[in-house]
Amino acid sequence: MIRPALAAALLLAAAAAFPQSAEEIVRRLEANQRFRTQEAEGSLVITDRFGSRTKTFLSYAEGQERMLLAFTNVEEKGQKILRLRDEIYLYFPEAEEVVRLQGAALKESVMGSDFSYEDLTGEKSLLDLYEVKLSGRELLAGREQFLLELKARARGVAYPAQKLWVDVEEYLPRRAEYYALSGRLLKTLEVLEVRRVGGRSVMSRAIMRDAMKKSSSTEFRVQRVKLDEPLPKNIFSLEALSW
Amino acid sequence: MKFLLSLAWKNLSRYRRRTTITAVALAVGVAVFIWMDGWLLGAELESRRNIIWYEAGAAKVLNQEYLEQIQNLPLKQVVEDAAGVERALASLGLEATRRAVFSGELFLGEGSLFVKAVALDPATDGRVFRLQETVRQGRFLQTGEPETLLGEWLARDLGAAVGDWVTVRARSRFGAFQTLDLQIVGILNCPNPVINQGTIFLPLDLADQALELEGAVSEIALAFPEWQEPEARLGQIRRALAGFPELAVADWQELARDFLAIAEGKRAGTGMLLLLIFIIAAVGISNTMLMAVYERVREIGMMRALGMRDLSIRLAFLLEAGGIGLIGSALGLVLGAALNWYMVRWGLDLSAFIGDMQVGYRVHSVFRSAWHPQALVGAVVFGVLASMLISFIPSSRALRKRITDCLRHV
Amino acid sequence: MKPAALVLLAALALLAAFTLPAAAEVGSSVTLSGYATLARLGEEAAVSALLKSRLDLQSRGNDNVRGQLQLDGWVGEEAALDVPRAWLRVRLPWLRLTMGKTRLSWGDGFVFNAGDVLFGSLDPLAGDLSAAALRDQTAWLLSAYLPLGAFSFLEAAALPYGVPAGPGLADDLAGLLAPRTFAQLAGGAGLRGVFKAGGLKLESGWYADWAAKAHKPYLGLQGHLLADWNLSAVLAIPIDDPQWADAGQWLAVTSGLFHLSRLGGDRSLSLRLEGALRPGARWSEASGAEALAAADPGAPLYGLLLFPEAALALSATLSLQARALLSPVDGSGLALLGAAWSPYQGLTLSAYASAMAGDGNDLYAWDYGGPALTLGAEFVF
Repeated sequence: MIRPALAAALLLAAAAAFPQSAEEIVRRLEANQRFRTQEAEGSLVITDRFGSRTKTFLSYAEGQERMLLAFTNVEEKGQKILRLRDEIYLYFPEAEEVVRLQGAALKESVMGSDFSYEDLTGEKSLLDLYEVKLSGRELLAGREQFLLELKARARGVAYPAQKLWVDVEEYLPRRAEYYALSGRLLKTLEVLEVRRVGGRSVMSRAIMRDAMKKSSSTEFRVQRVKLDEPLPKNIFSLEALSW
Repeated sequence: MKFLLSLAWKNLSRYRRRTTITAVALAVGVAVFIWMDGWLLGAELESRRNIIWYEAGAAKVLNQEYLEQIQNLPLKQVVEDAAGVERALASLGLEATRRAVFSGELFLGEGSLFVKAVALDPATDGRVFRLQETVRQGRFLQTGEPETLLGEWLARDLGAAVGDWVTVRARSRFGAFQTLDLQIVGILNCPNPVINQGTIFLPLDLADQALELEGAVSEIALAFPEWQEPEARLGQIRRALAGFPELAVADWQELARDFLAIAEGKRAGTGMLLLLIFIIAAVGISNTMLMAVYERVREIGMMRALGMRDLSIRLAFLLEAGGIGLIGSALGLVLGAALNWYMVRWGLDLSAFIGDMQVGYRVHSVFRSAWHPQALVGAVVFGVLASMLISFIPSSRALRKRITDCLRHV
Repeated sequence: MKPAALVLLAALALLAAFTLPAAAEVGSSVTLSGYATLARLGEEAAVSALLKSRLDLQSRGNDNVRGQLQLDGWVGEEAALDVPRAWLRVRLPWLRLTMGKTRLSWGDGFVFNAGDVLFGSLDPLAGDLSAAALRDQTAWLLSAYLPLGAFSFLEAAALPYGVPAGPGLADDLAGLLAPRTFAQLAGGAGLRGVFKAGGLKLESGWYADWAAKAHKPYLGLQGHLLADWNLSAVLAIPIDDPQWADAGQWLAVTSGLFHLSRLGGDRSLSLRLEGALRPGARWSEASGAEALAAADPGAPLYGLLLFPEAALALSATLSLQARALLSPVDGSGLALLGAAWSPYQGLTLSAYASAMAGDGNDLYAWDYGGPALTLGAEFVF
């Protein structure tokens, strides 16, 4: 009479020890990275064959569609970008001018970096775009990782294949590799630093490299971040843009 | 009349020095005009040829949406059923070949450049284009092989040689990133600088597979002999393609608008040259005739006193000016024709000056002229008429004076 | 202003720059730039140089009060000091107030902007086409900004002393605050509203300009159709005894098109075309005494002026630019070709060539602005 209960308990224990299908891992990974609002202070270090330049910024984001970015490095100090669903407002402090732009061309690269908006704001879940397979566990910088292999479900996906290393404890990506149709490595993302914010783990330093251009990379650093805390009132407005 | 002619001739030979100088000035003007006009015409004809032979064919069948954003080379807008299009056009007896065109980044060693990539069918490309004849090193493409051809200037910029492997990074038809490893099998020296500088070629079947084209192509290029006046042909083609409402037909002129803008400018340039000749003729001849008239005011008075009519006197001056015009123009014709002959026969090598500079004309750095008979005749006629017209003013002045004033003139 | 006052001002600025950062409440930056120009002087070539410096101090850290002080000094044909900006901004629960010397940009348009009733962006713009912002004039002002939702607002502004004629500290500040009667104030006051309806931005306002003795109501539209476009119209109605039969003389219309296309990688091409149309202005060439170069304030108001621009960014650090101001009525123009390269962060090296093409009587006359070549370097830190 005890047996079925024992079996159930054993099953539960097994599920706790090996809880994960690949899909489950991706879901937890995405839940971990999903935020309603984000307020961050950080910098981008863009390196190309001429050298590197650093842009520092303050950013406020709500969901995927509303973002205010204010540059704080001296060269672009005071310039702000308000990005909305189908329009962009730019603020130039010298001319004290707000310029409104629309059109598809603006949606492509982030401040001339190796990050594309596809990289930053994948609106869809990875599971919508890719078939995911758990191909094992690996150690990366002394921490255990799930190694996931992603294959695109449809043909329009920019990177037909990806490899993703997900930290077993934190459910954060530690490394990602992006491949072309031919199987050639195009870009790598390496997470260099993770920070605990309000009980969650967040990437605070990551570097994206163009695998075909040795000298080109974009490093992303977050000095301060707040997640799911109320943003300043009316931050996505012309008033805040021209403040 | 005969008298007037001989009078004009006598006057011409009486002031030989002045006649010579004026005629030479005019001759230089006419010669420069003939030379420049021949040169520009040569460049235009060669450009046209180079556009048709290496770039546009006589016309292309393309997706309407592709044509609207052709500068971006979008691989999303394609001719889906290339075989169907070719079947529909079969009855017209045109030569046709398929091409897929896309933009990509070309990597060699540490360097990279954005290029236009043209995937062509090595078996049929020669029916429309003459690329094969421009291979300077190595050989032309072969179907099914991971090979590429590069223009000479592009190869030089990248430091590439036959045998090197390059990688092209591009987006597939559906938007996925793709890389193609290709071996350089040949280097082109195409007279069309656009090709030489920023275009690479690869076999179509290879691109078809790599870029998920599934038989679709960017364009079907056509060749037909009446490309100079393509309208009737284009009408035929459009009717034959009635079953493909998404497709458009564009002739080479539409496909090479930048060149045509230059040709427009050229026409304006010819106009400027004519004006210049007119000014040379006007200044030289009016000066000469002014001198002639002033020197001969007493003579004119005498002739008028003896009963010669104003019209005849005017005619005499007109003929005298026409004589200078004729001598100058004829001299200019000979000089211009000689220059033009040299330019047609040998051309002028400007490679040292031009190098990689793009001037819009699709000509190589050796500029060659062409013969333009209308311009030869026109320049002479214009030279003579302009000279005669100009002489009108000073002679009118003299004839407005009273005979007595003329006779008292010092 | 006395030299002693200048020294005091500079000392205060230095004090602010070097003592306050300890509290991390001031963001400071310095811009140094130098330019050498080869141009025509009479019949000969001449070299000239210009050195500029800018000290910029901005408050940081308070979300409800902001301030900025900018000091410019330059040595060129003459040496001068200026305070282009000195302002304070306060956020109140439902209103924002700005006071001090700064700029307000009303309307839309890079060079030609009929909606810019405060500073005026209709004049033919004579000199340097190389700047990033071609219109950045500032004035002493007081303004209130009232948000009406996220993308609509009302803004009221008063410029009690009008727009300063040009930079130069002494001219600007001397006697500025001396008591004046209202009749003596040569400034203006106005109100504008900005609204969003569908994909369109709609802006309308009114400025009573006592300096120009005119009421200036304006209307502006901005949207996107293949390219970003804007269209504005302004009427300058004389305050004293307007002759309504001449209403056509008062109208000015400006319009602009802007398109940005990515060319792959970091490369992009942006194209802009702007025009200013004044139906009541001159549509035939001015000559003789009426003819003045664009640099003179009394230059003839031609019915049409155009500003085409193409900018090609070849990488994140290298860009090429071609700009022109064209006056089709008298067939003259001013053109600039330039290149800028930023090899290191903060450092920009530039080279540009400019020339005017036009007869001696034209707005852009060859005699006035013959060909010039300028090399420049700018460093921000």
